[in-house]
Amino acid sequence: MARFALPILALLVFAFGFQSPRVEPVVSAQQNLSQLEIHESSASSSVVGQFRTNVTSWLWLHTDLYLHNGVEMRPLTEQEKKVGKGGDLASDSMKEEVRVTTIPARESDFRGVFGDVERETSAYKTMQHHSHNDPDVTLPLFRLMVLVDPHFTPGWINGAAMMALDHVPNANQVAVDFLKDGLRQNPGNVLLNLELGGMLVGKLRRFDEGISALQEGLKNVQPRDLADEEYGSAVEDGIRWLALAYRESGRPSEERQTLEAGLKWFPGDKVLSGMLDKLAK
Amino acid sequence: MLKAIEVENLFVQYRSRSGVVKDAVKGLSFQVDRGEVVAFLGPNGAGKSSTLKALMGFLIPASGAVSVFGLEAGSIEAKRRIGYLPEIANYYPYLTPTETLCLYGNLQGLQGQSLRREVAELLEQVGLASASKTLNKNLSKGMLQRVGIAQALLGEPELLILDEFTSGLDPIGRRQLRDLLQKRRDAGCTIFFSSHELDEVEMLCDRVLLIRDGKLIDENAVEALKENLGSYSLTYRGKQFEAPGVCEQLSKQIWRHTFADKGEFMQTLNQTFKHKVELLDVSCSDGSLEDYFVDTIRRSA
Amino acid sequence: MKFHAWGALAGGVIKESIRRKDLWVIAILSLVILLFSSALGFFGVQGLQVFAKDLGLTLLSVLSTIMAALISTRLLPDELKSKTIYPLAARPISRFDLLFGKYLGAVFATWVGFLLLATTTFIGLAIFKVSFEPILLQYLVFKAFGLALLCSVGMMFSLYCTTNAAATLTMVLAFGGTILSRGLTMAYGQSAPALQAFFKALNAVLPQYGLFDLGGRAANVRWSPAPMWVAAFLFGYAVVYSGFMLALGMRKFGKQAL
Repeated sequence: MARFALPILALLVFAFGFQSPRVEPVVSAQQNLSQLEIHESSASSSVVGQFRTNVTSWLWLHTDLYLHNGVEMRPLTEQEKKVGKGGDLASDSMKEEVRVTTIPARESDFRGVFGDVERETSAYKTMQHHSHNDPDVTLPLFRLMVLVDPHFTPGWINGAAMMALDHVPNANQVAVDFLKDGLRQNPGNVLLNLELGGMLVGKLRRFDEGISALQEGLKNVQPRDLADEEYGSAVEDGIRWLALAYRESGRPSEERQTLEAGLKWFPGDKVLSGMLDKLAK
Repeated sequence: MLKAIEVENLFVQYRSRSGVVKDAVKGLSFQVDRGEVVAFLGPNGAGKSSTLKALMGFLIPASGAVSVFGLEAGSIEAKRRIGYLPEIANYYPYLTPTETLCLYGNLQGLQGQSLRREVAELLEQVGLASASKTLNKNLSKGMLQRVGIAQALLGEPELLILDEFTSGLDPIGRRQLRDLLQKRRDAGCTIFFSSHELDEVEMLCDRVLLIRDGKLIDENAVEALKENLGSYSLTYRGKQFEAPGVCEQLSKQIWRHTFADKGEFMQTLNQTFKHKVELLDVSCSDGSLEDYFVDTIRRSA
Repeated sequence: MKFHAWGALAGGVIKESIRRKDLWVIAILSLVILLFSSALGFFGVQGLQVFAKDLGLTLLSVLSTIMAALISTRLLPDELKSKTIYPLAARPISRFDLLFGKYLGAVFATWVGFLLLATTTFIGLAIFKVSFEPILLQYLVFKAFGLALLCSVGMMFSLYCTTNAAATLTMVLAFGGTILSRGLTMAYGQSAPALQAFFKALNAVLPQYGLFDLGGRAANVRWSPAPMWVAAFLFGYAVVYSGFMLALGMRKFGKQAL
């Protein structure tokens, strides 16, 4: 009899299960599927989407590597920051952070001859001999990056910045065209509009075009996103460019309006307040 | 004169993954003379293959001594004089029989034209000449066994150790192989093999060793066995007379005498005439090795 | 005689590998690399020479490493499982000859696959107008040393654990060795003396497979080939380390019941 006890108990539990009230979701999230991209709504496409993201990230990392001619670098660990690293420190002008070669310098490498050999077989240079490659080596990567994932905004922005540094006569125009390509793929994108506007105003001095791009960008700014350092900084720059563009175009009232609106979002911005003071005088 | 094989108090143990030790061979001792053909018989799991592996040096005995022509079993010098056929005939699936034999020949130290000639001859002898360029994976089990036999005969070894050599062979193949081995025996080669095919044993062997549970339980010359295994009887009507063998009364005045020894049988047959009894039946049958095998194994159990 | 036996065993392995179509898989993979390279060209992204070279050499390195691990870890267990080892072990050769012959077979089969892959990679790179530089030749030679070392590691593991475990361990050491080495060098300065001694011992024992990879230099520009003393050191290290691995393997295989 005892051997039937367990199955009977299981059946009872199962049967009682039907008596319990149905679990309802506490929050019924309304999702508009048409707003999702196909890779977000389809399992098979999602795998492709994931792959696309991975490839893009991988390419992103490689741009940095190619700039340093294959020399791998890393930021300092917290411990290294505290005690001070005795080895191969570098103030990376492009990243504006103190970094160190991944392969340690001879004096800070315990591996002896293995370390010596690695420094001879891997892409390694002491920071004294370190130099950056021409940024144009990374341009194809940026093009490939946005080809793989057209929604990868940093690829468009950094790619445009590198293109503007290229040694061709119309480098700035190439960069602007690149950003416009990006905007066609991502209409209304705040960061792309602000970057495009900044470039038109700052580098090409095409104020009217710049103003409309900056206005388009600032129109879509979500104040809650300003807490994000990168996003906030881009918006702050955008407001400055827009104010400057208005000044250069002789539109002081719009300049004032822009500066005042900007100071509401960034009350501590000395550039904006300085510009406002200058305008008042 | 050195023996071809000497096994002295051999113990072979296997240790399972859980650490349990199992004795496969327990204190086995025997010898094989040069030029002798000896069958190594026993039921499944008796320890035959383990003993053969110990002879080849494929496993290290727990204790005891094993030597081949006075050389340590498994040594390079000993292996140079042995041709070995494993129980399971598996050969490189993506090589042809010719390539397989050439590979083994090379390892044997043979090379060049003489090796190629010998390989061709061997394949001819084992009936594989037509399949010499077929990949092993496309050969039947019996054909693979022939490849195995050919590789064992490579380099004209002085001692052949064959584990279940007739396995997978058809009757024609068995006869071919028997002829081949008889030729080798006539040329002075020592043959030591395990088999479950007792007809083959009977036709080929000088001597049989019978093992069970890793122990030698009997050892006999085949000729002597054949004589001892015979069964003879005579049945007569009349007055019972004194005679060797076993006598039983079948009915009133009908008697049957049964003998194991042929001489006693003949002697008693003569006496029937002297005693003027009416001879009803005479029966003579040679004993089979199978009876011997089954009886001996049963007795030892 | 020994060289003859080793050669025969190695030859058998290569012949089997070719007929088993193992190398065909490599050829198909190479074709995929070629198609991929052509596809990049098709998308019209110009100036990708460095990237193409980097990608090509990375793929070459990864695929050849996987190939070495799989070939070397499969050989002896397959022989034991299919019982083809018996007729081999019955020949007048020592167990070491058997192990070493099989090791050479694994190395040569890997090298054949590696050369096949390399040839296709360089054809693929030619599509991007990447010329064959001296450093690429050195890359191939160093990589070949490294693959030989990796085969010995795989073969050693295959004698102590299952085929799958051996292949996994070999690949973990091959791919994770450099990362581990980086971690050790980063942590060394902040570690206690006892831990530092352990790091040193660990570093000495681990196969330094990453040292044989010149890909970082070969893929980028203006890097000169490594000096001769490095080549000599790597060759010596591969020989000594492989010998050590085979000796470890022999400790098991020498006594193993077949």
